[in-house]
Amino acid sequence: MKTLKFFSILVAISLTVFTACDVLDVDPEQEIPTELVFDDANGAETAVTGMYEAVSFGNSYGGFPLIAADFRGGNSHFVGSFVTWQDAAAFNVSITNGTVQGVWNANYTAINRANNIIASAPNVPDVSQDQIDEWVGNGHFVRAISHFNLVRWFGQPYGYTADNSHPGVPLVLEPTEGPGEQNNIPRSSVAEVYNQIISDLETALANVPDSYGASVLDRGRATTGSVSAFLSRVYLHMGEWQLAADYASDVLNSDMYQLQGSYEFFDNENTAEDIFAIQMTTESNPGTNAAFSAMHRPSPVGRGDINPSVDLWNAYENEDLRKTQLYSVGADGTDLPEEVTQQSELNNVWTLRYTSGNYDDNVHVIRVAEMMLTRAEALAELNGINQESVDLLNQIRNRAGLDSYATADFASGQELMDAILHERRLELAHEGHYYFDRTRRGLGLDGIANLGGDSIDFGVNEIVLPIPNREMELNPELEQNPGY
Amino acid sequence: MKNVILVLILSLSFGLSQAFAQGSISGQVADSKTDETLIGATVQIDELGLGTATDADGRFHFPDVAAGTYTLSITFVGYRDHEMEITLAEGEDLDLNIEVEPDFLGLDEVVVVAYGEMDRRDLTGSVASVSGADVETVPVSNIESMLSGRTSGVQVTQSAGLPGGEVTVRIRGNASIGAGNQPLYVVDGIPIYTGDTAGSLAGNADEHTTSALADLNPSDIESIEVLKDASATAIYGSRAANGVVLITTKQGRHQDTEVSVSHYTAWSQPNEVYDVLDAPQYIQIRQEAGTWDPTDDPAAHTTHEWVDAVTRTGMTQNFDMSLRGGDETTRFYIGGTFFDQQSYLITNEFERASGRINVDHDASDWLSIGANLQMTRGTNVRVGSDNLVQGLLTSAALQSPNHPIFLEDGSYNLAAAPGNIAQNVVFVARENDRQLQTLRTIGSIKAEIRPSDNLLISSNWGLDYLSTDDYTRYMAGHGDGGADGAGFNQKRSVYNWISTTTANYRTTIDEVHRLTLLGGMEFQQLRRDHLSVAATDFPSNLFPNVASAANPTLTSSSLEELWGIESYFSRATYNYDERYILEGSARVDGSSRFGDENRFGFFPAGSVAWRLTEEEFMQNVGHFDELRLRLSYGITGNDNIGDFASRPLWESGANYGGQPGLAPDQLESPELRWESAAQVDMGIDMAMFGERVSLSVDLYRQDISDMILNVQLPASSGFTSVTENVGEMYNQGLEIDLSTHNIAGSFNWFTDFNISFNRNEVTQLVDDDPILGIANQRAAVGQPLGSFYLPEWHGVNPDNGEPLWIGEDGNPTSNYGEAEWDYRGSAMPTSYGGLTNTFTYQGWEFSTLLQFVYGNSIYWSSGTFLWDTRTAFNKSTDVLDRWQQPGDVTDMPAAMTQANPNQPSTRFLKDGSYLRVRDVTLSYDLPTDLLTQFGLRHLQIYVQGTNLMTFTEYPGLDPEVGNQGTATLGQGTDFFTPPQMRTIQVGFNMSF
Repeated sequence: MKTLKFFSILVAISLTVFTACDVLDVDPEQEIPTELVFDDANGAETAVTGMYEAVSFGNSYGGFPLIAADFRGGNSHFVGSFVTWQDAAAFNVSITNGTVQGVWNANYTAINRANNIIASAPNVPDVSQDQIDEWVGNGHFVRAISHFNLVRWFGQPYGYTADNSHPGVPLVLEPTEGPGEQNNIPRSSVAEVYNQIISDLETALANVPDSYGASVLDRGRATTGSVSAFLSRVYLHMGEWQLAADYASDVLNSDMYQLQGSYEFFDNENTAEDIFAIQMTTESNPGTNAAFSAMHRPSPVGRGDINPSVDLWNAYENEDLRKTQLYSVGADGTDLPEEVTQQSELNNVWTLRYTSGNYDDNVHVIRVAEMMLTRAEALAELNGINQESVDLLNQIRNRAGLDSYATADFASGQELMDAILHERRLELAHEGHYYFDRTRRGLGLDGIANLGGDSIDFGVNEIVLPIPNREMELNPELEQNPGY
Repeated sequence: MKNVILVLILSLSFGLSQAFAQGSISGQVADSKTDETLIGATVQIDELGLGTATDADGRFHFPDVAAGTYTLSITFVGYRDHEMEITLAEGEDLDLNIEVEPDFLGLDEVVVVAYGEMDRRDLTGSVASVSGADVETVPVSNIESMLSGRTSGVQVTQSAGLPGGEVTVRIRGNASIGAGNQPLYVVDGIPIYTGDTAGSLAGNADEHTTSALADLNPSDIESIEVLKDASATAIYGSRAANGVVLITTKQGRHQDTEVSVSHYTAWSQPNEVYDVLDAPQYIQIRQEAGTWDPTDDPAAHTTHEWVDAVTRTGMTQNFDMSLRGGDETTRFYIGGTFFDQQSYLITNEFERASGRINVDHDASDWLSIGANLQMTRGTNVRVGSDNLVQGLLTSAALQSPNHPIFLEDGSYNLAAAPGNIAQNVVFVARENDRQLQTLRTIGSIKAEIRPSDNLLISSNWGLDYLSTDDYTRYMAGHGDGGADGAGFNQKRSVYNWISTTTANYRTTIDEVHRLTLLGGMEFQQLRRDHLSVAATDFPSNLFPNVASAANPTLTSSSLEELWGIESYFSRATYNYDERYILEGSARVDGSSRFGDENRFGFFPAGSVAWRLTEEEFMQNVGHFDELRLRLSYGITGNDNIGDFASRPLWESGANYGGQPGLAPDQLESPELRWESAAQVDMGIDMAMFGERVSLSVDLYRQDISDMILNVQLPASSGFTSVTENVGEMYNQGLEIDLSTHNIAGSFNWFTDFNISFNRNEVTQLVDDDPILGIANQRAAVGQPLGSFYLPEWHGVNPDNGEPLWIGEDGNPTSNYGEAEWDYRGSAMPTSYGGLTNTFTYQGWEFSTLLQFVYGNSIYWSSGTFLWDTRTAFNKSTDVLDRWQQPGDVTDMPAAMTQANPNQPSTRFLKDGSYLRVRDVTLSYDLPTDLLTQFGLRHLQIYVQGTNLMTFTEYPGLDPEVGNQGTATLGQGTDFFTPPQMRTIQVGFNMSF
């Protein structure tokens, strides 16, 4: 009996101890430590993909910053219920505006991912130097376009002060290792930020390939074409007309890019019209309110939050195919109003540039038409009336079913310039340009639909977004924009 | 053949019983102090397995008892168990007068403690007990809700008035900022999983969460013990800082099989609903704001009652049946329940079917084995709530009132009202389908070995398995369904196993030294996995499954939680002459969650109690029946710091262009360890005047250090935070439990009152920077947790109707950017408690429970929409008091779009104090002599009202809210949170 008791106790205890083996030895299964990420080529490649995910965020190139450039520029009317968007549309942004914080966070998230690539990709073992260059080049590209996104929203435009010493945004150039004062980075001047952007884009240009051999990568990552296109856009913002024109022609001379004959590229992904497009999939945007079709299409596809503005609508000629083909009344009506006098007449008019019910439309960040109009504008600035600018302008107009101009139609260089900018507005409407196309030229904003058609003068404090209050509290080196 | 033998045996025993003359035992049971006879006391003859209850005269009667010597035992709530030996001669009719001693304090009660049981008189720590019988008729889906107002130091807040939802339980306030504040729940020795199990297609974190505790069946509960101070909890080590709730289920007992049947039906209404504008008022306000055609005639618009369309009278039904019995060697409890609660929101329903078998068996005089098994199937037909565009109450309140629900042909009006994103919530509720189904198994096997009389070795292997199936189908044609419908399916499993072995040694030396020693080890691991898919574009609404849809939008499977814990513990209790009691305990916990440099933690506690009434010098002092002083100190931990928070990690899922991506997700923190709480508790327990008055007072202070905090980083770093052990804060408080027996006799009046005061102050944070929570709540040094940081609202400028705030210069300003931000109140109450009054007369009992919370603030986020005249949403009728012309003095700004009065300010910060009539019950126990004619032991019928009245100045629907579930820095936030139910209920409990 005693033996039996002893045996039972032994069994009980050993069963308990037996279960205990390795109870503490567990690992996460969806996450891996940093050193394993850059342990091989596959890891580095997925990290580069992960970096672009941040570029596709709804508060980076995937949504608000582009959509807002139209309703804050005077091209569209925001009628949705998001208060943070309403306030942005009405130039009434508070320092605690969550969407503004989101823009800050999303772009700096992309920058940190880029800095990790730039710092760690060179150490990946057993890969070619070309492969490393390609990763590092993509890192510089993403860092540049993210800083560019930030400086355009949080700082007054380039040229606001003569030497561009007015505040830009913090330049973050190292991967973050941990907490500490090294993270309290002050705002650099706009000049410094643009210099860094140019420098990063030039590094990217020297390192990235012309093509990856797959359209998702060719249109969705840095290539010599997309880097040159961004260089052209950045120089255009700086008023460096020759450089803007040169980089634009580098892109236009490439076989990879071709002005399309129709607007079907809005429905087809990765045509030769696209130079850089955010590659959305059906899994990118579920529940993301910032998705383009969610905002721009009425029920049942989207929320129906954005209509064209009166000003934009009346700027289109009635036979302009960009009006007749790229707008609907309600979900699919074609009985478009002609000239309108009140915003309410456009309450049921919606753009057809983004139509996917799954919110997987690619975002056309830079496309061929922009480069043509950029080159046309830059050449007109440099040479006044000139044949090449008019030819470029005509290509855009002909595609829209409109007549060609001749050089003789323009009495002055200014008239040509006005025609180019007018065309640029119509061609690139709802794609995130107009607000910057006004402010980069020192122009105020007219016909703001969310202000009942009122204007905003160039240079006023409301033009730029406030530095988010959270950042002001956490980083004592930051300086708030005046008026906030 | 077997049957023949059976018949033979039966006939033989029948014959035997006829062969001897039978006697009888009867008697009367009375209170030894008052001589009042006691009705309903249980009287048992152990040897014969006979039991009965005393009748209206306090009498009992056992006929036909054979001669012999028996043990007669009398048990009755509130009295000491009474046992007496009686000898019945052949044919004798015994008539006994039995007096039982009142035990108002329950000092002889056995209290469940960590890894064992103890007489209440031996307790040195602070432990509150609630008997299952006291609460099993409360018509709520979750056990935690039943604790509300019943004992000091325990604050219970239901996050929303919808069934199956999460309940916030705070024991002695909040002990953490970032690591959670829910206590550890231990069911029959198994620390169970208690988290939220639901999901949602859009990943809406604001939606009301569900609780895994809803899987437990209230009528299976024997008792609930709440361990409050460190001496009671420290043996649970790194998981005890928030207190421990021990839930013990009913076990079998040696008696004739008792069958219990109970049922209730309850009808419920929302505590309150939104009072919104009718269509003409709505149009008029919008015209004033300039957002509606000014030439339109408001009176021409018809009002559509959206709120009425989504509410109803809910109905709850509960059917319960159990069998309980056993013999000398085998005892069992078998219970089954069906609970169905339809809330006041259309289509919202929670169903639970559960069964339990508890068996234990003495295999020999030294070996016992036992098994407990519970299985529960739950179905929660959910509706959207809170911050969801498809939330029923949310969108019903905000929908434009001139917008019809149905078109003239009777079909749904699926168009959006101009500028209004509210969906047609009647369509959403009736057509869309959202169900959370859970299957829960909690089981354990136990072996107890007694090598000697003093030593007990016990091993327990437990399993807690939960699988959930969360199904959502948005139908085509409206809202989230889009053009062709959308579907979502999420499955989760939680696999939680534990093994525990303890050795318990008891001895008494020289009759005055009682010593109990406990040692043990325990291993536990929990894994939670999840799998979800979503897709859009279904061929038709007839296809429920995601597989039928054309476009997958989400396919995800992930490990959500995985941790292991390895523990060794011991406890020693020493009692000298029933006067001095000393106790010490310690636990070592190793956890996979802690950083490499801090893998194991040590958690000791010590306590002492002095029973003054046992001292010679106290024998003739005052009217004390019991006077006891307690003192304890101990250290506990909170391990809920994230499973892998210490490691630098890159996360998968950062996909782009259909290719897999990785992104940095977490910065490294190798020294990360548990949060630590050191608590001192001083208590006094007394009973006076023949146990007519009892009073317990506890003073405590809990110093919390090493709090896990997300050290906020400037977002320009690419991270918003990193996790470190940095914070400190304290709770100090006073708890008073007072019970009195005001009137004794055939009419009795009992009063139980408890009140708890808790003061919390945060004393250290990262660089002393405040931690920003939800809706402007913060943790800030020098402030209680959950303090609201806001500008002060200064009302409306009578000249122009624009909003004013107090500026930094102290003067009113219309420029919000100039407003001064400061701390304006906390979500944590300064006191809370309950008052129960019970009146009994013969079989009648009437009781009321008042529950109150005092001194907390709630940020009424709903108001930022309901008072917003700038948008197309409908508004509260409060806006009718708006400013309209110069000179109007009002707190409601003009209807306009140029100024935004709804930015965060004290305009929406409201006093959350309330006093609630939580429970009123009238019950009647039918007289025993009547029942015995029908072969019944017990029959009680009752009518009960819950949340009948609430006294509060809070303008929202209900001050008992938790928009953010149990989130610590989101407690006092109300954003269209569904209010609590007001319920009327009738039912019966019966046994035979």
